[in-house]
Amino acid sequence: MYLRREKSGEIIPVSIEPVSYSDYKKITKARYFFNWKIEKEFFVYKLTVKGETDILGLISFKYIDEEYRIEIRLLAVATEQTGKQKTVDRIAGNLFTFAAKKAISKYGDLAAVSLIPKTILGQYYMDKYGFEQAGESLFLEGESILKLLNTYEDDEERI
Amino acid sequence: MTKKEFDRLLKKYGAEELAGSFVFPAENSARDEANSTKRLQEILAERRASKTPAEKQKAQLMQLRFQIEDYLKEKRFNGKKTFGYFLKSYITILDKKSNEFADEIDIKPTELSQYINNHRTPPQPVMIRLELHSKNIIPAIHWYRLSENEKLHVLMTDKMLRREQRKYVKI
Repeated sequence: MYLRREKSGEIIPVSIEPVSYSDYKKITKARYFFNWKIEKEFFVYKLTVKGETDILGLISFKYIDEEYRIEIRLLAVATEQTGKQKTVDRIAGNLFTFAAKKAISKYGDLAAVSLIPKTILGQYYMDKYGFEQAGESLFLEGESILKLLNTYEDDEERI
Repeated sequence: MTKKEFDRLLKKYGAEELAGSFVFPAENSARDEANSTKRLQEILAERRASKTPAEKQKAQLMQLRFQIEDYLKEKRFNGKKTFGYFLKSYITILDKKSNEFADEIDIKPTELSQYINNHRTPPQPVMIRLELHSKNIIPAIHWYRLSENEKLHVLMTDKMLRREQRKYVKI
């Protein structure tokens, strides 16, 4: 998976790894918007440029085994990469794709990814990432997961 | 996150940018959440029931690919997760008999058996055939890295080979 530099279009390979205990010291609300420390009991992953340590985005999710799905609890892109000032794109898309890959890896053909959006944002998740609606939840499953993978996965950076 | 904080972000960035950068904490009541989950379960059950065998098989092959990737990322040798183990899983997903599969990639059944039982390492052309057979879902490089992993492990741990080779070294 990779980011794309806004002005030049340059492609930058990324790495997505579990957040370690020492990372939490630098994951502040000022830069990552939420109190991430309360997510420690869930699966929390960080996105960095490959080979670097600065965290550009975070995701927290939980496995709901009895329903064969992953529920995304929280996602944030670092402050400086949000809005007009951002220099790279695709951070959130890569994190959604990572969750989708984890769901397929665990649940195979039954896999789904869901989230409960703020009502005002629901349509944007559907338009940008292909989420579908089910009551108040949004979900990715089957074809919509494959479309997301096709958009954000690349052949050379699979491992 | 309070409503005031969310409204401030909404004003600053707009809804589209927020959806492109965040998933906010859910604030539903337990009852709302139960209703929402129930609807989601119903729709997912319908979708899963209507999948064709081909769709299921494709997703299972992707599952196998991601499992290989997860294993390779561990960078730790696991004697169970060998080339042969993943090759056998591949054939099982396709629901094929060994002879039939061997024929489809133009190798002898005995040769396939040697790969599955880790008695022999496949050459690169066979790995390319596996990639093509999976319709590019599992790249040849994954098979290559699995095989390389095993060779590295043997190189690092084979004491007998070290004893045998000692006689050829003058020190």
